[in-house]
Amino acid sequence: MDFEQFVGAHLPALVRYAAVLAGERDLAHDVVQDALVRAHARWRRIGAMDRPEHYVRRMVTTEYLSWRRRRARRAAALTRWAVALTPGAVVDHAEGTVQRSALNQQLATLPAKQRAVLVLGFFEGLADPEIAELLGCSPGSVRTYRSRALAVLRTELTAVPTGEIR
Amino acid sequence: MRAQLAAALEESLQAAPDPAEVLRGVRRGIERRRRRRRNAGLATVLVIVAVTVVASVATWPAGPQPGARVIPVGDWPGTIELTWVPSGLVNHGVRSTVAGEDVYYGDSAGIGLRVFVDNVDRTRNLDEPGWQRTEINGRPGREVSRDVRTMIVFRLPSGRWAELELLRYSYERSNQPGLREDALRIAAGIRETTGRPQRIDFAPTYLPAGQRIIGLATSAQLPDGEGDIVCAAGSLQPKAPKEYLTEGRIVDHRRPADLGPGLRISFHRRDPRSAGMPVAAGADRIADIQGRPAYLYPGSRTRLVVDGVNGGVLVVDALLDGEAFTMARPDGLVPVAEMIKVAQGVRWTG
Repeated sequence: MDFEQFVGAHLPALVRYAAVLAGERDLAHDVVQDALVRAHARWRRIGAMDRPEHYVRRMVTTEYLSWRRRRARRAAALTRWAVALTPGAVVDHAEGTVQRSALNQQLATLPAKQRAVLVLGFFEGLADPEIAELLGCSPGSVRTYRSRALAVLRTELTAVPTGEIR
Repeated sequence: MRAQLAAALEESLQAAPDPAEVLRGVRRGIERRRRRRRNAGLATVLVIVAVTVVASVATWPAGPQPGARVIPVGDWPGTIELTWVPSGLVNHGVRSTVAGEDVYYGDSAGIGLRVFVDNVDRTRNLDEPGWQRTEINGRPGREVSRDVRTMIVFRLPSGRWAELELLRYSYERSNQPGLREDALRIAAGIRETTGRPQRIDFAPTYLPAGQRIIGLATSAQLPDGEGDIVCAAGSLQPKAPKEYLTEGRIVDHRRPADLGPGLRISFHRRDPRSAGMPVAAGADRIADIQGRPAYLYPGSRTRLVVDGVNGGVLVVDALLDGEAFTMARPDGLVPVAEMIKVAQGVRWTG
């Protein structure tokens, strides 16, 4: 499969994955774009792999986790918080929507690896060893990241019942 | 909370950028990269030319050294033939091993076709959730179509099971007209043959204890003689059923072969675009192998690259059950010292 074919077949899935991982459009755009530009430079090798889409997905994850992206992501999150705290900001009073919106805000403030663990586990449906392999850490670290992330979400969102996630 | 969390993450899909816009950005990025290369100074060009010339004339050992006997690779013929594929699809390659056989086709418009024939697991469940039963040439099977892909699992006359995956890219996530019909027609046209031999023009003289060659992979996009030698130390017997999840969230189960720790030995001619790739990728330089610069990928240390051998790149990957690990190194892989010995012992036989 050459690079053009790969992009044709897998770009929509990569974009969706990056959107959930990054939680914001511009960052997801940059992450996928940069990962694919780097993949193109190494396509001879990547294209010869059994499942190149897995490798490129890893590149997207790595790109998201890179310190430059993390810093940009935090800056964007701070901006969003600043807007949300501005008096007169428009609020959707539908309870479920508000709760998910608050959950989204909390997700956006999580450290990159903690968010990635939640996305890969709860959205992508990956098991801990697979997440560990993707993130380059041990399954024990994955459990730690998840535990800390969920602790933050539970602390901040007192309206959200606890104890369902094991 | 699990449902709320999933819903919150699902909300993030609203933030998905336009794929067309991303694609334009990718093309701009590739063009920028190419422009930077074109604008490199003459001195840099001369250095690259000199390095390439040196690499091209680098002396690959002409034959096995005294006492180092080449291990026969075999020709591992592919045993399936596709008598019909949609117009424009071209064969991209084949991988034939003890565990199974993969055939890949593609085209420039975003159609991808993969056929995998399982040599190990003869007991597929016909009632997977989300799948529908079907028949291919009177033999049992099942099929599923979702978004831009159709998958069919069916039994061949030999009793082996075949998996067919056909995808047709579209920005719309709706089912593609005619995709299922094309997949069924491809499946009906698959024949088992005596096979066409694969040719690999290199061979190892050393493999770690327990490792043996279990197959080859070649690509129609690469010159004859280049490709992969696949080795494994496992029992090759079917393991416990494992769940497989595709990008279209299609779930399937099968029993993978117990390949255990393994190796993939690859040789490809130098692609000028990949010059300096190991350094650019942050690989760790190690002592020369066969007189050429050698690198280990950082972190996982599961990939060994010897750059410039016979004008090409020799790669030794440590595998576990056929999977390569580039981010972290799981327990039980072939040790790095053994990977180096394997690379030192590879000889050109073409």
